[in-house]
Amino acid sequence: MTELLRSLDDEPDTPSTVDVRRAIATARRTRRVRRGVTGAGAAVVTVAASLAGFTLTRPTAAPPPPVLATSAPQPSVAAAPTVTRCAISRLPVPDKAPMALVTAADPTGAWIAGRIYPKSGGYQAVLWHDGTVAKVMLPGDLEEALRDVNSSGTAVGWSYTEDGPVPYAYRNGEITKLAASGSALGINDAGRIVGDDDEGNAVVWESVGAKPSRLPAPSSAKTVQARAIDLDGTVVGSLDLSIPYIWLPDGTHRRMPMPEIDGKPAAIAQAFDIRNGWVTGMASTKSFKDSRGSAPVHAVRWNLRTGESELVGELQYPADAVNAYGWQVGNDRKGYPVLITGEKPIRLPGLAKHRADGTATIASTLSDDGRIIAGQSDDTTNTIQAVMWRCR
Amino acid sequence: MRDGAEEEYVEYVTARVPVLRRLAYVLTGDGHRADDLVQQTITTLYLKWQRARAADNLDAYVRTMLIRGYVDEKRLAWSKVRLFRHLPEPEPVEETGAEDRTILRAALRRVPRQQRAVLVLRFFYDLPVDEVAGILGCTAGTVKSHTSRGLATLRRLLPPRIEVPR
Repeated sequence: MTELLRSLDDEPDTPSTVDVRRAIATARRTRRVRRGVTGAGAAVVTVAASLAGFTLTRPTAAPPPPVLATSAPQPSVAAAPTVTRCAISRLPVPDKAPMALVTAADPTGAWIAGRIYPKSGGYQAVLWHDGTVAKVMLPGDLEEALRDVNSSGTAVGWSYTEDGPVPYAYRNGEITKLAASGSALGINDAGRIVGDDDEGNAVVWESVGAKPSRLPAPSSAKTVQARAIDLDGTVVGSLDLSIPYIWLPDGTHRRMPMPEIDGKPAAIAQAFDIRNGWVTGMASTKSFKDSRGSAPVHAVRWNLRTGESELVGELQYPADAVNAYGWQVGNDRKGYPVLITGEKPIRLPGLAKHRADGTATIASTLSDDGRIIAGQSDDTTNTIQAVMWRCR
Repeated sequence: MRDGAEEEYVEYVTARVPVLRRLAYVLTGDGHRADDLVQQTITTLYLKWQRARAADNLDAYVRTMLIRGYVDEKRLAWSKVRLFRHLPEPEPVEETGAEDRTILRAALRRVPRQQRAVLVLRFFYDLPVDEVAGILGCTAGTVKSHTSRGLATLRRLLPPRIEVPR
């Protein structure tokens, strides 16, 4: 595929109309107009800032915080179950939609969020529960996705408008707009939500009705991402897509340890998901900014109890989900979706043909008891379909 | 902008325009739209120059700007498409005896934009899934699904003799 696309590496055969001087002139005009507006905008921001406090407020009644390498969060589950095999089934879709996929699930696996691709075009967010599916009518008509759901069935996500993404929460048929712009990416069972403001800052909502407050981060970071939240309120993410970062429930925040690759610290790493003190993410020996990025991306798992991190050699890409036992789902080196429990990885069946690049079937969620996995799988016509696996 | 910085901008952009036009061309498949995209990107770059010039790798920074500009354009286009509640399936490219490159470019132009951006980043630039996710601001899962759908679309649009690897 690389060779095929590289054959297109040439300039357009039409004469260039790109004009650097015109770019400067247009930019100067834009800047003058923007300056006129910014004064008023800045005043509004200041008011909002003082209301929101811009500090990390402690969540009420949260379990004791995990502290890196000293103590552990309370495990939410008893001894690990044994799982040996998983069976696939299709999730029902409304309106006979031709395509669908899964974006998230709660820790019990009872609630599964996703989206369908209606025949008329575009995207429609949906929520599965008890074998039924409900459409989640988020405002906005461009693109939408539910990114997480908790065990009470509160789902969070974003919907794209002309001006960018807008964060929403959904529960029991009711939709709440969380802020004027940004994305909601994670929610825990206490109802605490994390996401971003679409301006490079990570934010947290203490509950669905609360105003967002910015998560503190070093001022050197241009892009702060908060990707997931644990049961005790611990949040993980990254700075500038390069430094794995953690915000603890006591209000402190810090870099996470860099994983080692071949005995040397990785150049970059990011934390994507967290569950019960287990964090999954990626690491690479080369910075994203080093041009063609030929260095491989490694799957990483951190254990917050010990402060240790390890590369997950079985996985071709970083894990797509992690559960309370630190089990992971992802695609193995041969592209098969697998459940990794610490024993021999368990391959998950797909609906149709397998592809070595790991795109035919993707497991996106994993329940705490390891028995329910949801994701997507290409059917015989190479069309993505929402699926779930029941494991025993 | 101080004079030194502006000179630096002009010097940098002038040297990079050919590379940016190549990228924009493979994304848009159309010379004029490619130039519009490059023009828009270097205009924004001027506004952000103070920050951009401090980037560790300016080329990667500008490439991301161009690709995000391209994908945003797609997001705007969605609203127009949705008005008609209809998204026609693209027609396969006709075998006209043209060079493979021309046919491939025509087929790629018919692949939905976000899928096309993912294909270009993953295979033209050899970028790993997570870096593509970072550039496009989506999840690795989305990148994987767009790759899969993009390749499937391309397979359907190309005549059988041009093989799209599995």
